[in-house]
Amino acid sequence: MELKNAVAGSLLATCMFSLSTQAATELEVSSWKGAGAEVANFPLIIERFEEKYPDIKVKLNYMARNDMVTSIPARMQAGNPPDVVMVDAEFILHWGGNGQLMPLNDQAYVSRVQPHLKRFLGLGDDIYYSMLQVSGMGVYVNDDLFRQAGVESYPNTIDELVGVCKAFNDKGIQPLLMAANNGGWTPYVYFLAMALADSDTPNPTRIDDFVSGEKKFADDQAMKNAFEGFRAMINADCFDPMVSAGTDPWSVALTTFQSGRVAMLPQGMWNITPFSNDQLPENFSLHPFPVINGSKPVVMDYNGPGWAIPKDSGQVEAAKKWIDFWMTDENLKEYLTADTSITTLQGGTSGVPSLAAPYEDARTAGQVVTFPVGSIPADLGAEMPHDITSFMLDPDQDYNAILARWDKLVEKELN
Amino acid sequence: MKVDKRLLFLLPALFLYIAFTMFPVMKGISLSLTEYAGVGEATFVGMDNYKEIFQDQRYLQVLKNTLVYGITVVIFQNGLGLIFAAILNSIPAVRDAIRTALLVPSMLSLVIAGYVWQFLYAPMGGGLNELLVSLGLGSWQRVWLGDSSIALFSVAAVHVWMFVGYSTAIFLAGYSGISSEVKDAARVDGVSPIKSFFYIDIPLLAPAITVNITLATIGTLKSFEFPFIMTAGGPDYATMTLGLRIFQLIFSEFKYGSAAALSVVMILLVALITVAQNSYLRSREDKI
Repeated sequence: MELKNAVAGSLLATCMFSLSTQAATELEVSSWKGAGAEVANFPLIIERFEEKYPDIKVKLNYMARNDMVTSIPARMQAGNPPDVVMVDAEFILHWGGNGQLMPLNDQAYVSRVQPHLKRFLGLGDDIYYSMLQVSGMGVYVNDDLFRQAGVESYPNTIDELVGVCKAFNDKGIQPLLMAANNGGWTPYVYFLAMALADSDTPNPTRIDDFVSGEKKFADDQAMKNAFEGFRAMINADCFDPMVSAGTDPWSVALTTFQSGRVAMLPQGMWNITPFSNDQLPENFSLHPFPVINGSKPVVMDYNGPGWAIPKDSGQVEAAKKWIDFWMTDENLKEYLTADTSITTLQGGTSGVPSLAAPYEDARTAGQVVTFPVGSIPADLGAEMPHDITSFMLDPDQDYNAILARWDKLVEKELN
Repeated sequence: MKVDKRLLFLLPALFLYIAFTMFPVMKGISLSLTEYAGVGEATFVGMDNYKEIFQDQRYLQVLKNTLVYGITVVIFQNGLGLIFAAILNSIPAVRDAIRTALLVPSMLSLVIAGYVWQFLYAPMGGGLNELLVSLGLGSWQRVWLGDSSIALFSVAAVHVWMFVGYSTAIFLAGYSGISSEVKDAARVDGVSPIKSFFYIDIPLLAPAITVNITLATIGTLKSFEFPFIMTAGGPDYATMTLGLRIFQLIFSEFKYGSAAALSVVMILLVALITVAQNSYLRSREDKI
């Protein structure tokens, strides 16, 4: 009899457990943030989400971004994708462009996003993701080296930068490092900052005109001026092209700047936290890029990742709740503070410290251009950094040939 | 017609071979004739991807880089490996200890090794340049990874550093197969160590040379890791290899069709070179 009771009890417990687990919705979220080196306050936000929605259990599936390139498409093709995926502009272009993402136009969060960012949320009229953050690129300044060289104000233009470089060189201080190893990223970013800023308040859709073929790179004076800007910097010994070409922007350049070997380093906002944690350099700040086509320096926005729902997601309602939950200032600011980046919400709270005030001031004043990842053809995006590095190493070459080549790449894409 | 029933035993292996080797290869070839972003429908484009490879100057440079990288690594890795093996073989007392030490770099993770060498090669305060200064060789300082004319060789040098111990170990195994009587007879006949190395060691090491050269050739022609970690193919395509370009086509540009076409070219290139090389080395062995 006792045995019978025990068996019946176990069966009842098993049934109840199974019923309780069936009642909970498991939301599979694939993300390249939230673990490893980029925890970004995910545990706190997930805990809050599960508290608000006790019937939803989040299963965070962390993987490197490169792994997502291969593993997520395979699952999409099989009709069994994760319920929510982290995406960025490139994924939007390829997955959204191939009909694998669910349009989110009718979601409430859309109205909360800053108006000028809305055009980056999808393709054409379709909105595919909730952009979590805007990160950005600017120029890190070692304030102590500036003082040492007697430079009192940060340069706004390339002409002013040339003067500043002279002051540094006279004191035996390397003014700037245009770290170009590992893909030519820094010169590419600096070039685009100069070339896309056609005035003190740059036209935000300028790059689209080149991509649509409406404008030609070869005919554009601002593009040509950007090359001239590079030439002026090289002639003024603002940086050593070959040393820059041999320096990796993601590792060696950072330690070189931190060790006080160079006064200025163009880099991303995401380095504020590691620099601050190391307290190296002791005193630093983040500034906009000196310009060639105007008189006010510009910053470069980097539209960050966000959440999208694959079209075959098995938990659409829970996925929509997840997205909406993140896109509230109360929750998003936790992520932004950990990731040192700018909010995408109207009136939202950014996670940028005061040492980036010059950067934020320029951005607020509209002196901003956007890094064109995902909005230019892949061929062009791959070739431009190489061509700009090539120009940096041989500034006497004719840049018109480079610009004409870019036009050909656009033409090829359009055909 | 009567079929030998013993052939049935081949079926499981044949099935596995077709499923896991032939099918992916065929799938890769068919993918190379399409334009495909990893999701959605693939569009048939015929030979367009191949035409682009052989007409675009950039791709031709990638092929050239890969061959130069391969030749440099194969020559130096095996040349140095042979010299180290010859020296170690003549000093049995230290041979075993040093052999293990020589293998240590090849036990490291490629990522870590590439990352460490990136710092050693750093133009400002990098270990190598600082060492040259301290040795009074300041004029030899270079921007190792930033100078297009030497960047490929700088990356190749790390490959050689990492795997030279591996080649040495194979040559030492070859040495153990050389009869001591042959060497003793040569010594009695007054043959100098240098002559002995060229006229006895090298011919008798022929099988080890074949193995080393074949493995090094296949390994370097597919090489991807060091150029990826240390330069990402730069500056200005100076270190872009076939393996790295294939990676970039998929992971940066989402061009699966072009990547598959380049993979087919790489397979053919590796196969062609290794078959030619092997048949030459084997015939050389047979003559000996």
